Amino acid sequence: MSDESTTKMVSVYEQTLDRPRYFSSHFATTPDSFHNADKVEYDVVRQGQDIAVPVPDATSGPRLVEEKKWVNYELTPVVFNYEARIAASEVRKRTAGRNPYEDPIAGKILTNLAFRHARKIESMIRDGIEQMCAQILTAGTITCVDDANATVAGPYNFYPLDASGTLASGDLIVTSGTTEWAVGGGSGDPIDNIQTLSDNMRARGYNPKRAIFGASAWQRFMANTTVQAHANFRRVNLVDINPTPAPEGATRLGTFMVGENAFEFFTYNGTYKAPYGGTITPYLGSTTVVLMADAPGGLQMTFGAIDYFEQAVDTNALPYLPRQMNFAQGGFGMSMYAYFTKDAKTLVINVGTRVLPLPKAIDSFASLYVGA
Amino acid sequence: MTLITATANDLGELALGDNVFQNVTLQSPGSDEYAAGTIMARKDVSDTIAVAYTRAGSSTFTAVASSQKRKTLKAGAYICTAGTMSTGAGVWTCADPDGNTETFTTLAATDNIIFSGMGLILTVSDPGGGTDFDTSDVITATVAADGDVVIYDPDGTGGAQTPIGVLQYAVTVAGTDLAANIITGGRVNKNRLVIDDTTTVTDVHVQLLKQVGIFAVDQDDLSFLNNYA
Repeated sequence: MSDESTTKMVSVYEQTLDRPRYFSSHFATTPDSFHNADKVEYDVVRQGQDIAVPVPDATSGPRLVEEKKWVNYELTPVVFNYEARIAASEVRKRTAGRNPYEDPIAGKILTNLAFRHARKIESMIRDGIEQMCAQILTAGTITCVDDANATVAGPYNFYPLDASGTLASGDLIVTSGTTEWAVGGGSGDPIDNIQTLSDNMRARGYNPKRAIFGASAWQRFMANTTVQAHANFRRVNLVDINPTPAPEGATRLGTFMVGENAFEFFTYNGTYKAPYGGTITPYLGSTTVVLMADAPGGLQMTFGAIDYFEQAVDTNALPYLPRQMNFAQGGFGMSMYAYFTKDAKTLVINVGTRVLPLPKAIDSFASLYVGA
Repeated sequence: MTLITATANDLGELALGDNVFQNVTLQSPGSDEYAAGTIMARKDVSDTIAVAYTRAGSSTFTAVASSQKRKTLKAGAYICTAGTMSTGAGVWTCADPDGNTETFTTLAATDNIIFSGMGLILTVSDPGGGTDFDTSDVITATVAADGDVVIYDPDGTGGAQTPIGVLQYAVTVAGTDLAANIITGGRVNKNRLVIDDTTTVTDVHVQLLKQVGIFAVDQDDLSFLNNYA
């Protein structure tokens, strides 16, 4: 209501911070990642670490060898599917950021509203994917729950994969027991624990190069007397801690020699709001350390399209929301469609994707739990 | 819904070259699956076992003779004699064609008489209001000669203990003899040989195969699956 006072309405603040997605950034999205299929499959052929053994004499017969086995994995993706509705009356009303004294321009406002919904859903899905990637890297599993804590996707257990024998995860995913690091630093042997885990990875052919610490794990690590003695090794620079921001919400701490392995150390304190209970939860458990090796092609993201009839696409709604967004460089793909209800009162927008991060190189990462 | 399915694939072959194959009749003593690479033998005796009775009294019970799964009987007569029977139950003693003996104790008149060491089963039946087997009754199970192929049994008898070939592909048997094609000569991969009773294939078995012209060579598998442990 106007009176003799004047008012300046400044621009809206719309929080569009970069969400932390450090773990999912390790899962490569390539043109191969996008599909319309029901399931995804991949084959795994392992190199191993065999060395050649000579024959006793040039006249000896050859050593007979074969290399004919591989494993195939078939997986059903996790489905994210959201729908939002924008009523025609919303266009007439003042929405966030709109000057109440400007005449509403329906097309512009509708586009703005549709994209605001789509951006929000996209961000939620990306965060959901980050949670799945965190679960893979810390536990080798995926289980998604709803707000009642009911399991709605999973459990995917990526470890017992091999039909000819069980892949032992116990030496790569250490959940409790022998690796407790005291908060005060008086007990625990982080160097030895990381060394053991590294050796287990190396036995499988992977050389860990990155260690990603949860907040408390890093505090416990730095407080540990063994670590401090290691860092104070005179005239030998085994430790170089010089924190710098790293992409996707992590912080690169520096380099650290553990045994014969030169690690890049990171901390990652990205958080999400848990669907059940609403607690703000770190993707990486505070007392967890993840070790990762380079494994080109070993971690891949996949995105499947959501089903709808192409023939039924409402061309009137197309200007407000594109149908499909697949972009490998952005590491994301989702299906979108919009339509007006027949009474012309509502714009319905649907955003979804069928996603699954694939840890093809299942032993290129390991996880260490270091205390309650 | 299964979310993850892992399938182990294997392109490896059992036959490594210069192989000789033979069409045979595979004996099917019951429902079973024989894996590719199963070492086979040739039994000397028929599936059909004739049964005759020498009754000491007025017993009317009957028996049907059969061989146990994975066992091959000897050609000839198995003479099974009832010891002291109490209401049709008691100790039976069987002498095989070579004179070896085995005993089995029934607890009831209609209990089957099973000589598991020999591989002979006598399935007892009451013809209906009949009279139990008496003390000193004799059941003679006569096994005729045969030439069917059976699975190799290192501890078997009647020919089952002598390898003559290797099954090249997996076969499911269900009680009816069936045609099969087996390897009877040439090179095979020792690491893909199977003894059906899960005995580990050793140089002894390799030597036995060599005597029939099957050369089992040790071919290292370099495949590295996810089960590194």
